[in-house]
Amino acid sequence: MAVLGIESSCDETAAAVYDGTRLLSSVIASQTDHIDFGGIVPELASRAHERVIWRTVAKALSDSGLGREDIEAIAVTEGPGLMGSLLVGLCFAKGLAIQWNKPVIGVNHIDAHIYATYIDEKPQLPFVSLVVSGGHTQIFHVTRPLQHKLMGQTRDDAAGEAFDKIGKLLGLAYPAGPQIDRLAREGDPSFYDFPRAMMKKGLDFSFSGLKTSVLYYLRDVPEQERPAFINEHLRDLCASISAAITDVLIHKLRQAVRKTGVKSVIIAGGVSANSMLREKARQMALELGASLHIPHPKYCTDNAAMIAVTGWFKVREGMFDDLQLRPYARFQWDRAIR
Amino acid sequence: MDADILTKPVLSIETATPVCSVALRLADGSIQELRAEGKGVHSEQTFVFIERLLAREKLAVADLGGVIVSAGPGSYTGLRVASSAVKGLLFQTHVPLYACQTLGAIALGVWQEAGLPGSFPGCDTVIDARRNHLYHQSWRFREDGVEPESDVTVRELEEVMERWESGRIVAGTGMERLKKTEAGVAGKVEKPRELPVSKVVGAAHILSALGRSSGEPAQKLIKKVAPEHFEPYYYTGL
Repeated sequence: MAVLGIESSCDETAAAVYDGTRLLSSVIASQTDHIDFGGIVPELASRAHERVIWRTVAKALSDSGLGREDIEAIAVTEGPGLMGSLLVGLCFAKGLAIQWNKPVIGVNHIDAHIYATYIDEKPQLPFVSLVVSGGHTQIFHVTRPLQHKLMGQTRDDAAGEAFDKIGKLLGLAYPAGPQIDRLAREGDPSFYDFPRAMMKKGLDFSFSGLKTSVLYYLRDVPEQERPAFINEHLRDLCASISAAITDVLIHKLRQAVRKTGVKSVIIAGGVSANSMLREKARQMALELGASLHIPHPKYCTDNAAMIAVTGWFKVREGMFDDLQLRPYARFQWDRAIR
Repeated sequence: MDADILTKPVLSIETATPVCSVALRLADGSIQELRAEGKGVHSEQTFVFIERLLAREKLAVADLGGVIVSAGPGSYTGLRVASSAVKGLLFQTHVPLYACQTLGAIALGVWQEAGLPGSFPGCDTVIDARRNHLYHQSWRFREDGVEPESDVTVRELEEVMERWESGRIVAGTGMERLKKTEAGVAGKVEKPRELPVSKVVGAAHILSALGRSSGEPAQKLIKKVAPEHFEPYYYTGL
């Protein structure tokens, strides 16, 4: 029994096939249309999905070596994400479900990030998972597959969003996160002590204040000297900003692990590729005697392998949807697994 | 057009306007339609309607002689629903896809309702283009269908209102916007020239017009397209 997964929540069109024991294929078509705009343009993203979804799914099926008769269900991202982008994947999946006479399964994108770890390994349950990307920053307590509880989340910007917005202030091209990470490796994290928000306020996060703090910090430099100042101290600034963001993430994650007493920790989502976050997480896990699991970088960003895996768990539990399945832009508790 | 489209069952989908409509024409020429109207119904109901119509006749997608999709201009969301739906529906099948420009599809509906020889020379069809605008196109009636008198344009409400006041038939989902203009509210235009949306907008009208109008005008309006590469007519290029 295999599940075809389809993902189109933002700017990656992806399809994958998973059979419960191994990933048979995973195809990602990334969009380059947005670079000149400094961020994702929703209408451009939707149209790009429409152009490539057919060939993406065709390649995933062909790579898997399976045919329609081997596919038990079609899992598709239902949200959260960009509405137009979500619609493309969802409507394609529902059309295909009618043609193939197979059930469709809506998968919450955040749930899928949590279960991306299962693509390559079987983490010990229960575990705590930090999902951190350009759109999300949330901590979950997972007691068994498809049963998890939200412990904390960002109240404003996601951590990845903070990296990108601050990168723009520094004159870095979108997406700035990976560039900040690369530059930070050669910089001094103690160059400037940017604020760590909400350190004593439960497990929720806030990153919008950091962006403002960087803005004010740069504004204090005389305008004519600013470009040269940024150029001269770019590595140190990137390191200091990365330190501020990762300190908060690790502090909250440590609190969550202590509170639940779990022995496994998972970090998922695009920001989990950040080297400073990985190193601090490794140290935290050592200190707490917990095992740390981070999916392969190719499964940390948006992909359909995690949708297929989560869909497979839902097939096992008989959790199917009907053709009225509709997309949602914002995280919805009633559509997430608990 | 392939011969199959006239001899085998054909499915038609209209989602470019607030009308969400799916129709099935059987080989005997009979047409069944399921429709709903409103914002946000398209991403749910289109699929329910397709499945229900096919199941009712015990048909599979592979049994179809073609699928006709209303291709725009119109609501971006609605167009996206249909475009993605037909890609999934026809994925790796040999069932052909046909695209019918939406203002033309509405004109076909008007032609069937009001296009009796000599009654009216033609019509204007309109779809809401948001703000103060309508997608607009003028059509000439022929014995065997409709042909365009103008290109698709985006016009201000007042411009189209002038055409309505001059005695032209103006029809389509953009009528609701016209009725809310000052002249529309004042009831300046006679009701007989107003054709209700239910009479002229919908997937069934495309199919019934196809049955009656299989000559040159239909060939020009309903074009065969490759489902993998099909892109709706968004009008605004990106």
